[in-house]
Amino acid sequence: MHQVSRSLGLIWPDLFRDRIFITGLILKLFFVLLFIPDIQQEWFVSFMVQTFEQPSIDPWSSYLDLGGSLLSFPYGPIMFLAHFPSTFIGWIIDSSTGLNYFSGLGFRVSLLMADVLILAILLQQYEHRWKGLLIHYWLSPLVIFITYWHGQIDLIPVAILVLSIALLKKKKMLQSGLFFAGAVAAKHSMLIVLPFIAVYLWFKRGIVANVYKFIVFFLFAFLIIEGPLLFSDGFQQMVVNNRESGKIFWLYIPMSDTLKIYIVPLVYSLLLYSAWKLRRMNFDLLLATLGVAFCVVILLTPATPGWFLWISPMLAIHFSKGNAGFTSLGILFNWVFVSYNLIYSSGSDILFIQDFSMPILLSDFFIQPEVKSLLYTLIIALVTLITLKMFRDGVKGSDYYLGKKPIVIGISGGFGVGKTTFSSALAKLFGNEQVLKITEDSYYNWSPSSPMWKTVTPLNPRSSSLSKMIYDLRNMVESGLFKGYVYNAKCKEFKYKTKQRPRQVILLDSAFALYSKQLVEMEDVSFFLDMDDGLLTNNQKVNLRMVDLIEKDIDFKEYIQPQKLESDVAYKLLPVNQEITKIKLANNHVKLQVRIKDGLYCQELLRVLIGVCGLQVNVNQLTNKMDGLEIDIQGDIDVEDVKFASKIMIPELNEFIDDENGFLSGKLGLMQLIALIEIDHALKRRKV
Amino acid sequence: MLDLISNQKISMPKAIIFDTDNTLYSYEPAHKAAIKSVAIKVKELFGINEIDFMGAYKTSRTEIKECLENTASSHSRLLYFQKTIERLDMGTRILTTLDLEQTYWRTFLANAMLFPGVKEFLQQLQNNGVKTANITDLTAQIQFRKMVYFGLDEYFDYVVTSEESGCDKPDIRPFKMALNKLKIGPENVWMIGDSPESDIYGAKTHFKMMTLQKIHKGVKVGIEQFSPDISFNHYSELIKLIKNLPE
Repeated sequence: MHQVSRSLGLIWPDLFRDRIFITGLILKLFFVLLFIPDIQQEWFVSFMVQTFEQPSIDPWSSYLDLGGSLLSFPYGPIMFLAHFPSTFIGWIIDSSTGLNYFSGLGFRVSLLMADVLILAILLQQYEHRWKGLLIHYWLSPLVIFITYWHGQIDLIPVAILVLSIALLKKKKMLQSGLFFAGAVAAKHSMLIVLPFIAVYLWFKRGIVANVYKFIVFFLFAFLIIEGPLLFSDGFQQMVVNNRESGKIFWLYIPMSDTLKIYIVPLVYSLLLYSAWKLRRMNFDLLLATLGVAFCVVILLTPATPGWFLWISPMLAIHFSKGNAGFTSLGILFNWVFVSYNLIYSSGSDILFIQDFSMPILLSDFFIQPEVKSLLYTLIIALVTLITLKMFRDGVKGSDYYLGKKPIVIGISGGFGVGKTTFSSALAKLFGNEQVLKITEDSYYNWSPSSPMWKTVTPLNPRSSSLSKMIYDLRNMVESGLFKGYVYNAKCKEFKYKTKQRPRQVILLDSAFALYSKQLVEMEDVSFFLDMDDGLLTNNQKVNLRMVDLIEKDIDFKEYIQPQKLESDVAYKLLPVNQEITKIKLANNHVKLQVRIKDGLYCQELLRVLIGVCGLQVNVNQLTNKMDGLEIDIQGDIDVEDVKFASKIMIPELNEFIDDENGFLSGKLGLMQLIALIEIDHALKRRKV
Repeated sequence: MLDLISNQKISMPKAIIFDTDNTLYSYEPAHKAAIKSVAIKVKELFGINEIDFMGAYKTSRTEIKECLENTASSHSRLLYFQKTIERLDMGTRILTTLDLEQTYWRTFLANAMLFPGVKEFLQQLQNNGVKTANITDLTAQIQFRKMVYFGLDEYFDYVVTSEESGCDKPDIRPFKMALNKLKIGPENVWMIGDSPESDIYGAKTHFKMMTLQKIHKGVKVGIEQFSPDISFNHYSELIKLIKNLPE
């Protein structure tokens, strides 16, 4: 049974008991204590120490005024603040002892903390890959080399970005937007992923309340943090216009003397368009897409080693999946990358060892430009392979990659059995704005006042134009020509529209939803609703008239009831005690009977219903085993229990539904839960 | 780290009895998260702040435990919450009490994680033909729900709750009931638990079973009459131990 993800507070104790973690921590502490990266000492720490010695609200300008290098601190204020506490403590110790060690140590400690934070967030999101993540992230040679030997500090913005993305998954838009602003205000390059996050949020509208909050709070926080610095010359020179920002125009195809095609913006735009065309994106796919977006910039520009840290969490997630071939590719890349940069990039001074240099650096062989270029080409080739595989796996590995095809859900049953209530409950889950409803009243052959209704009941297929219904549904599935009932946010109800943008979910709410073989074939999942005659619905007056009408007719038994066998799941509400009739639907003496055709998940479902929700469940053996399994469910269920059960049963699908506000309590909540499990299985089958 | 505390000869057991809470999973983090969610709900419903709620809860729990002594009901969260609400001058609120109990256990389960290696160890015992039982101090309903949630329901041959035996550990009755169900003499049975007073003392004093204490944060190895024969930190250590024992 799937266990729900734990809070970070519960991850720490387990982490500090883990031997792999402790091994990595000791190794990293060893580096932090003894290795002093050249670039940190020369640039970053020097900048911070200068600011501590001569405090200024604009450290960038002050530093340049004192003759500092433009390259010293090309980072935003959050990067400064992230390093501030530990570096400041180190500086105080240095100042009082006359040493020049503890400022740098404090600086490196903040990197170690960011490193641990990234690991903890990854473990929280993918706890089932605990060991893999420890190996591929925590012990990653790439991360250790770039951060603790070469000395780049990109782990800080990456940690804040990962935290922001994790909050995004939890649908905490406000906090996520604020943290994303923090990541960008630490390093502007993090803006690379903003359009992809916007696409992800666009897909989530309707499911997640207030997705706009992310953008609003990001912009608001970013302006507050960096707004005043836009008037700082030093900040403009060192951060905004730093030499790295021009690299996106480095690779181009010259069309004429004055006309060029820039490759990075071109490939980036194409990737963004591809992401947009996915139409559905889960958390894994978002991470893969962000990884690929970063890779585009890394691959097509003369990237510094620090940039490779941007993709380190995404690489670890993919390597930890356990695919032997991909993992080997990752290991090879890690070592080639480290070897290359060990030769050609700056490193560290080692405490107590004077003038340390790698023997390999002395070899003339590696100085030759051809050798260097060949090694660099090998790195680019490996990153390209990894990028392609990461994107392909991200898209194909997503359980719900469906291309352009929407999910088609058929809901059939007689009149007054709650088809509309059930379809509304499903629409609420998938987000009204993502749903298009097709109902039978759009396909009646006659107007409501027609005398034909005296001779033909609405349950007779002659009353409706089924061929038109099939034609319209096919057009929607295959050609994206949508028409039907769509949600009007102003009126807060579904209204009929003939031309509509594509929707992710089509709900076919019709007594004939399973009547035709063509309809059944187009539906990804189908439900049949039934109700015992002894139950009273809320709109009983209308129903009595309909029931009277239907009872006089054989249409229901002839045309509607046979559809039950075609459905994937058939629900029936009936009194617990068959002898007691005229029970109100909301009464506790009503039970839900569910017939599931493909009962693969029934064992798990029973465990959750009995063990987690505390319901009474009976399994009835059907005479014909091919008809599936029938279960009776009794008892009251709270909406929180339905939510909890959904987190256990359908953790992946939870990302595509409004699991905060979409669920209902009672029998309808149970019907939602079972419907979602069936949809989850249907989508996975469709993928196969 | 596995620590052989006594000199008792170790041989392959025919059965192992387990405690549940804090032996198969870490109790404290789950409880903390659960009681916090109840406190939030109480604040929403009655406007009572967390400190007042926690104070009333602790007093109510102590009173219930004193009143019901070593019985399963003395652990009932339903009774604790009923008494807490009454203590907060809100009278008996039946629906709210039920709601709080459900909130407590739902959050508890959501935050409870099995110790690493538990399932592998139980699987190893099944492979070796070692029978397993579970003795636990609480009402059967919630303990059974925990077992189902953790997916352990198919691993244990028998379960004894204090509701069934009529008394909590270290009383002789739950141990006796478990041994009767197992139909194996205590000399061939091990007891694994976290509590020196309940699990270790009970199994040693009444039946001289081989006792193993699960050690983790907040659990100290018992001393003198509460001292186990073996203490361990990780279930992988027990897997190794069992693998190396002669049949």
